Amino acid sequence: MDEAPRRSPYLPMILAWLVPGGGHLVIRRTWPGLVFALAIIPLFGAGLVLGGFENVSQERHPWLFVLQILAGAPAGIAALLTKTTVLTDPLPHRSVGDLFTCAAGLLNLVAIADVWARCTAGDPETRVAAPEPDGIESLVRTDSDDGRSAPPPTPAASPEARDV
Amino acid sequence: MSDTLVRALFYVWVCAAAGFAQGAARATTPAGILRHGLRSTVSLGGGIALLCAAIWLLMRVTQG
Repeated sequence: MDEAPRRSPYLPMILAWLVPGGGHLVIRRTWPGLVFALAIIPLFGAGLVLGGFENVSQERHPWLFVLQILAGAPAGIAALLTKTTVLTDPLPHRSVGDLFTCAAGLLNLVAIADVWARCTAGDPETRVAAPEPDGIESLVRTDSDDGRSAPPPTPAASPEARDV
Repeated sequence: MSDTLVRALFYVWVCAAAGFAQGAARATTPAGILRHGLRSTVSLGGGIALLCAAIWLLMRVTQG
């Protein structure tokens, strides 16, 4: 794994939004890109099927579409292709279809955020954890700070006491 | 296959997708993605299963 050079995150983020996993492929992070693509695209497709090809539409389901459009081009293409679809029979797993398509959009948001983080801060393995801010510990004096509260040596412990 | 089982499989699928997406965001190598992905899937699925069990128990108690 080579060190990723810092680069502008905007183009990879736009690509990551349009094509799930595409932003990672552009910044040469093949495995994360493939995993994101394999996690998001089948999930969105299955959600579309379970929803009867009717549940991705800005006109019919505007609130769901806010989350679904985060999946990028698949959501846009599905909305265009299924514009005139009308459900005639009730579907048994329609709500699961809504869940899948919305979850796919939200997972693509994770992919977009990860592309941004990899472009600006490097891969997760190379990132250094930020130091803990000084909290209450800095205000509380510990025993090691001064010798006053340290327990005195017991007579049995000191060699002089034993000799006496 | 009962409707409940089918629905449970769907939830396993969405948990696995979310878990492996989180794994892909935490690692770069295939082994790291697999390790983080499995761990995230188990913790996410376990959390949702516990939540579902708690809701089911609450419904049983409140409905007598």
